[in-house]
Amino acid sequence: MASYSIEILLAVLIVYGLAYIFYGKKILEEKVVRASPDNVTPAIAKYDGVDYVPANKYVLYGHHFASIAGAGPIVGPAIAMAYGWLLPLLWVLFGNIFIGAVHDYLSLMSSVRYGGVSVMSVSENVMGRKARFIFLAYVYFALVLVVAAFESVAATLFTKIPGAATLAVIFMPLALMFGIMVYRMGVNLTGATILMLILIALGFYYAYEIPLYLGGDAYHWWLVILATYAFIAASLPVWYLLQPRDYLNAYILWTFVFIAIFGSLLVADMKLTGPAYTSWAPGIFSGVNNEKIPTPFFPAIPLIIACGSLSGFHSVVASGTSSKQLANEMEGLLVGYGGMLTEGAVSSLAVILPVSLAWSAPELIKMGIFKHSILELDKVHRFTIGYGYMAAKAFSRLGLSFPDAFHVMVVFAAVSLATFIMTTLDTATRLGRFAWQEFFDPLRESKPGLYKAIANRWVAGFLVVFFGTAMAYPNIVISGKVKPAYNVIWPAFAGTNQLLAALALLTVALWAYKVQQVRGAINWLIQIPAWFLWILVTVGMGWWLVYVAPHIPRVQEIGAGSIVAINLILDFLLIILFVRGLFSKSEK
Amino acid sequence: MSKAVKALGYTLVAIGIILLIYAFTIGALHGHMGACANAKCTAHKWDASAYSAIIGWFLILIGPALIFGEAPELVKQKVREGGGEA
Repeated sequence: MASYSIEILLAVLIVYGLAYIFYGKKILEEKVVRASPDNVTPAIAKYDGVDYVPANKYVLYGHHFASIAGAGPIVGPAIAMAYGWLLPLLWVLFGNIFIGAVHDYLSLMSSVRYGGVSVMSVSENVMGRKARFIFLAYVYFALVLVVAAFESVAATLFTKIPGAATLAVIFMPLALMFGIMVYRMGVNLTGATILMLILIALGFYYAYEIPLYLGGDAYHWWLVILATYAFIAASLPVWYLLQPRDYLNAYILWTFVFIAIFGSLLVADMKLTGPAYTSWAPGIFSGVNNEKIPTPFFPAIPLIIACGSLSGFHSVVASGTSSKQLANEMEGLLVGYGGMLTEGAVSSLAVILPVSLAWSAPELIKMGIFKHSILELDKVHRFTIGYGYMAAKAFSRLGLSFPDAFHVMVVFAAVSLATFIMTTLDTATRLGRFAWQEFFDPLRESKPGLYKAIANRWVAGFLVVFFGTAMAYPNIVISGKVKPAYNVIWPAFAGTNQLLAALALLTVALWAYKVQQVRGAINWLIQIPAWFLWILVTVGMGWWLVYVAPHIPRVQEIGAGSIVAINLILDFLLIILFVRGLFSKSEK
Repeated sequence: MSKAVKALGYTLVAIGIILLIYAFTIGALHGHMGACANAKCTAHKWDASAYSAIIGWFLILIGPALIFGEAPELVKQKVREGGGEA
């Protein structure tokens, strides 16, 4: 039976609308968190002008959304399209509503209730002191991997798409100007937003026409520049760059979603050319000689679709930067639960739907972009081509030329992706700084001099960037071809990230059970998905070690394999502490 | 924030703006920032416009932070008033 784009669009919008109202608001906000406008948030109580700064709820929503939406919601679903469109769509919807959004919202609110501390410190309150340090070490290494992977990806993108570099050079000063206008000069938020969006549109036009080339080994030059940028940006006060930049970034993401919705409405009568289902175990992962390894949907799917469905990195953002900027508890649902649903909409409407439309589109075959199917393209190009195709088909129905619109929208997709990666890069650096400082927190009072020397924000920020850049700098050789380091780092990052999601969700589920005294059906509604995810990801990581690791290059097998193995050990240590916490006396 | 630091901030911003204007103008005139190392422009080399774009970018990033300091009065005031939201 043929499927049409309007069916996916309506399904996504209706499911998300119902989930936000009936699960998010009625259950999580009212019955689990019991949010109140009378509770003073850490942004007010611990205001310091650097990290603890109350933000406008839409600014904070923009920051949170842009920080959690890096490359993950785009790249993951683009890879998972090998299963057809139905299974990835179901995983995104199910994962968003019952796992990802719950995980993000409860991480945010539990952190707010403990004064804006990270989810790792929340774990200390519900699982004991050991859990906190195991968790902190785990998260710190995960964040170093994030910095390494995203630096490497961004440097590669800027080298291959120099227009993206031009837009980055234009975009950051505009974001600074926006922050100064709103926070320093008291300019009206709406007026400043409109002005900046016009300037960004002009900037995009300029970047589309004028690339920025660096000489010599451009990849390594970009790596050094991005490392310097991440260090500076992560050390500056949040109001100055992070908040305004992420707020404006959210408009780009919204434009993505809007064009996807608008586009799918305009092409509502178009049939999806992609199949709903291809195979339960297509060959997604590949080995050193490019041999395809059968990749079963379960347990592999959480290792493929990360941020679009659920991601442990979100708990670190929610309890790291977002919880320190929340001005009112009643705004938490929009930021935490709403931010995750919006990210899911990016995955489903800006990736899964367009790729399904473009799957074997005759125009693209005629243009020589692929021979038979979009699966012939690499993951980033599946997204840019699919997105560009759907948008161009829509715009051509409004009278624009299809080839021109297609070319512009493909570049728009690629340039925007690079901007989101930059956001994640400096947020991850800031969060790594927080984790380092929290690790040494016991020294703050006992040895203040030592604490100041090793945990001040400059040293802490520098170390994260240094370790990340050291891992991202060396190129690797796969099948005789020199490739950037993210090819080695990415699998370790993905696995670590998903295990972190499982552990963070169990931690906040325990917080809801022990501290918030949530019992009965609502308790099971949180606990069952948490356990399901933990089992699935743990089995998935084991599957990866047994079936995939032996087929990948030696450097990946040893590097990524050992990190995954260590993470599994930490995973089991934390789960023992979780079970102990569950059966210990509940806190009031 | 001392007057000297503020003055440094203003200087960095002024130089940064000049460098970025230079880089963007050269980009508009040549069709790209940075130089082509061969006729087909498949390899590239550094030139004044590429240096200006990168250095100007960093100066614009740092300069205003020196001028404005860490805590905007607008935010402080709202926190003091207990309104929270800035």
